[in-house]
Formats: sequence, C-alpha cells, structure tokens
Amino acid sequence: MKNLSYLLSAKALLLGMFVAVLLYLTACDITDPTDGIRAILNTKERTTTVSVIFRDSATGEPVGFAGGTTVTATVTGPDADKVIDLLNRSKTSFDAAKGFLSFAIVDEVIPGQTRPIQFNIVATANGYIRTSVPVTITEKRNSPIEVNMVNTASLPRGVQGQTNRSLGTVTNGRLNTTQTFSTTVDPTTNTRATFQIAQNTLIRDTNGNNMQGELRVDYHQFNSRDTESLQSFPGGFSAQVEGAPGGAERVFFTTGGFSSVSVYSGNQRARTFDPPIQVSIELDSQVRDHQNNVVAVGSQVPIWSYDDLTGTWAFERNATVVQGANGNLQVEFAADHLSWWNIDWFGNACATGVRVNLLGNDSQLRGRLLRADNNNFLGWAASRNLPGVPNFIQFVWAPVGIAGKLELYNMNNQLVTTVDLPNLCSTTPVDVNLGTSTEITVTFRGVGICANRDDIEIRPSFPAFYRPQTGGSWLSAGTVVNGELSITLPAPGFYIFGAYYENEFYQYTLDLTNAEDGEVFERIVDLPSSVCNDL
Amino acid sequence: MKKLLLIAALLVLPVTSYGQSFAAKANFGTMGLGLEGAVQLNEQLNARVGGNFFNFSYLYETGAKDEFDVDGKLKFGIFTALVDFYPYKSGFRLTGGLVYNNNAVEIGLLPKQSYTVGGDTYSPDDLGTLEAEFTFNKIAPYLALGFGNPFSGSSFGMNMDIGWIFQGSPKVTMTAEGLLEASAEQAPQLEQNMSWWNGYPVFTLSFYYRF
Repeated sequence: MKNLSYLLSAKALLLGMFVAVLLYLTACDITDPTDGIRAILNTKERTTTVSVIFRDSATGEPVGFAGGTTVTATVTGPDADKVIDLLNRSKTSFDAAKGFLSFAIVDEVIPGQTRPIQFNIVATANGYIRTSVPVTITEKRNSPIEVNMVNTASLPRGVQGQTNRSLGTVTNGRLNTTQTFSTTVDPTTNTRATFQIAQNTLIRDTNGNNMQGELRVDYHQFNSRDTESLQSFPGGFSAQVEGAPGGAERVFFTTGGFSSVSVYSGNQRARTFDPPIQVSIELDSQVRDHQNNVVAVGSQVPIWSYDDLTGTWAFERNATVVQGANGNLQVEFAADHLSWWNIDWFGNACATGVRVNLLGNDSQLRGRLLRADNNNFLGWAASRNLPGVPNFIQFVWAPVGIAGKLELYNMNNQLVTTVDLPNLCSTTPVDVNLGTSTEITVTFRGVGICANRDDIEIRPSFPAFYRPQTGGSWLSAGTVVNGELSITLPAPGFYIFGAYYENEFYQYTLDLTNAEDGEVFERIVDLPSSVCNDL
Repeated sequence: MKKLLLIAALLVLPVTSYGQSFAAKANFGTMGLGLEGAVQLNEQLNARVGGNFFNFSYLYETGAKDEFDVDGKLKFGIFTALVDFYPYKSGFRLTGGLVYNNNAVEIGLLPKQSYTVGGDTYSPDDLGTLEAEFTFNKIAPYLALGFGNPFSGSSFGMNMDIGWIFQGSPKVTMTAEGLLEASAEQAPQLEQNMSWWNGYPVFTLSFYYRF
C-alpha cells in the first residue's frame, strides 16, 4: 500500500510538473486573427479617361480654383452617349470642381484610329465667355484636355470688349433704335471691332421666337497676335469645318482675328438677325495669311462662324479687305446669327504630325508651337510618358507645309529649350537631347477608407493632376491605377497633387524636398460619402 | 526527414542486442490516421517511427445575407521519430522526440454578395477569392505522456498518448484573385495575429501488435 501510494503520488507529481511545463512553454496572448485585417478592394478601372483643366486665359490658373464660379461642362456630339463618369454612370453634363474635371468613355468601347471617339465639351461659367472644344480620342488611355476660357472681368492680353451693355429694347422682335458698339482699341495691334444692328432688325432667339424686352450684349474681339488671345480660339486652330472652299473637312487656321457676341434679354438668348449685324474688324498691320503673304486692300479672307454644340466652323463667305477710315485695314461682313465669328485663312492639316522625342527627360513638359516664319502662335502640346519609350510630344492635325518652332517649358514655366521643326507633318521623329539630371521618380500609394466601414480599404483608379507648390502650372499627372501612381518630377521640392472625384477636387501638398529617386509615399484618404454609402 | 530516419535507425540498432522485439501500431487521433513501427531498446526504453495523415475539406455556407462563405481544408502529414521512457517499468511513460510537420491549414473566403457603387456592380466573380494557407516549422519537438507498452503483457492491445507538438507559430501565405487581389498583402499582419498559435495538441489512440 505504502509503495502504491508513493507510486501514485509520484505519478501525480510528475504529471502535474509535465502539464505545468507545457502551459509555461505555451503561454500566449491570443489575438483575434482578423485584427487589423481589411478587405482591400481595387475599384473597376476605366479604360479610357479624359482629364480636363479649364484655364483662365489671362492667368493660366484653373477657372474657379479660388472659388467664385463653377464651370459647367456639357458633352455634345456623335459619341456623347458613350460618356460616363468615373463610377460608370452615363452622364453628359458635369460640374467641374475648382476648374478640374475627369470622366470616361464606356469600358466596352475601344477607341482607335479607324473608329475614334468624337465629342465636344461646351464650357460655361459665370463671368466667362462660353466656349467649346472638340475632342477626338484614338487610344485607350487618359487624354488630357485644356480648355482656355476668357474672364470678362479680367480680360487676357489681346482681348477687348464689354459685358452687359445696353442694346435698346425689342418689341415683337423688332429693335427700336439702331445700335452701334465698338471694342476699345487693342493696345498691341491698335485695332478695334465695331458692330451695328439696324433699327427694326428682327431678332429671334435660339428657339425661333421673337426676342422681347430690354436687350443686353456681351461682345469681345480677339487679336491675332497675343498668345493669351490666340489660345482662347475655340477648339484650337486645327479645326473641323463645313462648307470650306475645296471641300476639306479638317483644316488648320491662320486667324486675322475673331470675335464673340452674345445678345440676350434676361434668359432669352438671341440667335438670328434679319437684316444681319454689320461687323467691321480692323486687321493687325502685321497679319499674314496662311502662306505668310502680306495682307493688303483687295485680299480675300474667309469668314467663319462656330457651332459650339458640334465644335465645327462653318464657312460663311469670303470678304474683301478694305482700307478703314482710321488707316487700318479692315474686313466688313454681315453676320445673320450669333456665335463666335472668325476671319481665317486656312490650309490642309495632317492627321499625324511630327513626333518630338525628349531624350534625357521624363518629367512633363509643355510645348508652345509657333510658326517659324512669323512667330505666330499655333497651339500648345503636352508631353507624354509611356512605359518603355522616351518622353515625347506627338502632334496631331498639324498644318501642312508650315515650319514651326517648339518652345519647351517645364512645369515651373521655365523655358528649357527651343526646337526647330522644319516640317510639322514629317514622319521622321525629331530627337531633342535635354540631359536633365535633377529628376526624381517617385511612387504614390493612396488608399481610401470609409468612416462607416473600417473593414474595407479601397484602392481606386482615377486621373490625377499636379503642380509645384510655388509657381508653375497645373498639369495632368496621368492615371492612378489601383491607388498607385509613379511620376517623374523635375526636381525635389513641394508639390501639390489633386484629383477630381464625384464632383469634388481633392488636393494634397507633399513635401518632397528630400525625396530620393525610387522612393514610395503612402497616404490614406477619406472617401466621399457617395461612395461609402454604397458599400 | 533523412535526419529523422537516421536517428531512428541509430535507436533501433541496440535492439538487436536486447531481444529483437518489434511491434506495429495503428494510430488515430488529432494527428490523423497513421502507422508506426516500434522496437524495444531495453526494459525502460522503446523507440518508434511512423507517419500520420489526414485530409479534410468543408465548405461552410453562411446565411443568405452574409458576405462570404468559408472553405476550409486540413492537410495533415506528420512523420514521427520518438523515444518512450517507462520510469516505473509499468504502462506509464514519457515520450519525446521530433516530428516532421507537413501540416497545412487552408482557409478560403468566397464572396457571395454583389455590391453596387455608382454605376458599377461588383459581382462575386469580379471580387474573386481570398485564400490563406498556414504552415508550420517542418522539424518540431514533441513531448507527451502515454499509457501502454506494446512490449509488456499481451502481444495485442491499446496505447494512448497525450502530448504537444511545439510546431512554432504558423507561416501565412495569402493569395487572392480578382479585385480583392491586394488583400493578399496582409499576410504579414495575419501571421502576426496568429503568432500565439505555436503548438498543436496531440491525443492518439493506438492499437498495437507485437511480433
């Protein structure tokens, strides 16, 4: 018995020691396996996107960035029905935010050279002249678009005019007295434009109804010399046209000046005038035609009117240059309807222009294209940075037979270099060695979270914009894909990044003064409630 | 694996001088189903090697309004090289040794709801699946208490083991397809969350036959 008791107690002790050792060795702090674990969701990426900056022509800043006005963009044209917002909702009217807008083309449609996607963006904003720009998309990628708008309270250089001028009264559509109004003399070109509406002119609105009541007029004339004026030309000088002599449907304009006139009574907007408005536009003494010939008395100049819903210039007639009373050359013509009007010579345009390879530089550049022979402004172009190829500028619908020179500006608006382009339609690329050495490429990773769902993290895809914090201009930064964007910056410094999403513009300032090439930055963003409420 | 076999062979060698007793065991328990071969080294020491296996899959279908189903898989594969010590020359024993732990646990989350954000519908196919695999240290110590000695008494009988595999905390591998692909980046977090799980309990019943 004694031996059995001893044996049992020994076994019990041994067993207890063994269990104690096991418990000690495996002492643990049990954690919820799902602690800190979220469902990380990539959003559906739009395959073809458009990112728009509506710029004030005078300042270069996005329209309404500091508040005060909002640009409303209406999409019209043959493929307007293929436009969606970034959340795949069919939409043709957008409110930009701080002058920025991003939208997309339906995912199932793949644009190509043989079947491009074409539409117009009609832009309106309080205090700005209504304008539009035709858009053609031929690739499945992000297309950056810039729309220059004229602030009537702060006109850009080269633009003269007035808003809200009284224009008498109309009764049953008939104007009570003859109205004559002129712009102030443009200080650059010493020219002005004059408009006259005769007494008893029958004025009808856009629906064909007689105008009624007190008339007001907004009118502006744009000279043919200053870049700030010329960059406001609706749609740019590479234009879709109707009725052009010779039958061309796509031309490149050389302008002698253009004007915008809007007559209204309250919300009723005038469209047609019978008899027509008499327009007299004085020409810049330095103006040249499309072939760079001196313009003289007797020269013929085509007159065009613009349909902003289609983005098309319609040939109206040829006008003859005459000597004005003050010694300036001038063109006189009759305008029977209101739109933008344009005195433009024209020539052929090539669909695919010359490609300029920007070697040694991967950060974004803007190019200002000028005529080589007379320094006339032809347009702006932005560089593109695609994987595996050097940074480049590709011209489309460039003027045939015209030599150009391209001024390259970095995002700090500093002139980097000027490139001669003897043939803007050449199929041979032009290589430019820039040799920039201060560039850094960084990667941003952003995730979106919702206040109402701490178990989900969203990594969206959307177009982005950026600029240096001080000076410089907002530019398209490409596309954030699944929350990630890699971008090359000209140098370390402070940068602001932004995105348009669900009618809001989100911007973030990042201190990249000590950033190193290849560095990764992460950021958490609160998503809008319109997205979170759907989760 | 080779080391285990070598150790087992070295343990077996003295048997030839003791009596050449050999027993075969069929096991079932928390290590799965398995077979062992045992030899008696001396009156108080046995050595045995064996293998245990078990595969099990189960799809847990949650409620109709729940967000995902759970697909679980257990894949057991344990090879043992053990020594039994009988301190009192009775059936009670202490067992220790090494195991080759090829166990794996797989958990899959299968989304079952569709979500609409704006104009986009995210279907289960769009979301994809998320899978996590837990594996352990391949070589792990094993300690146990046991009852029964195949080399004592009847040539046919039962044994029992209660023990613990010190397998270390699991290594986690996550994979995901579809729009949930990025969720697999959280494997380190899940591994950290599971760091408390560093052992495996063993309860085994054995039937033996002594030759």
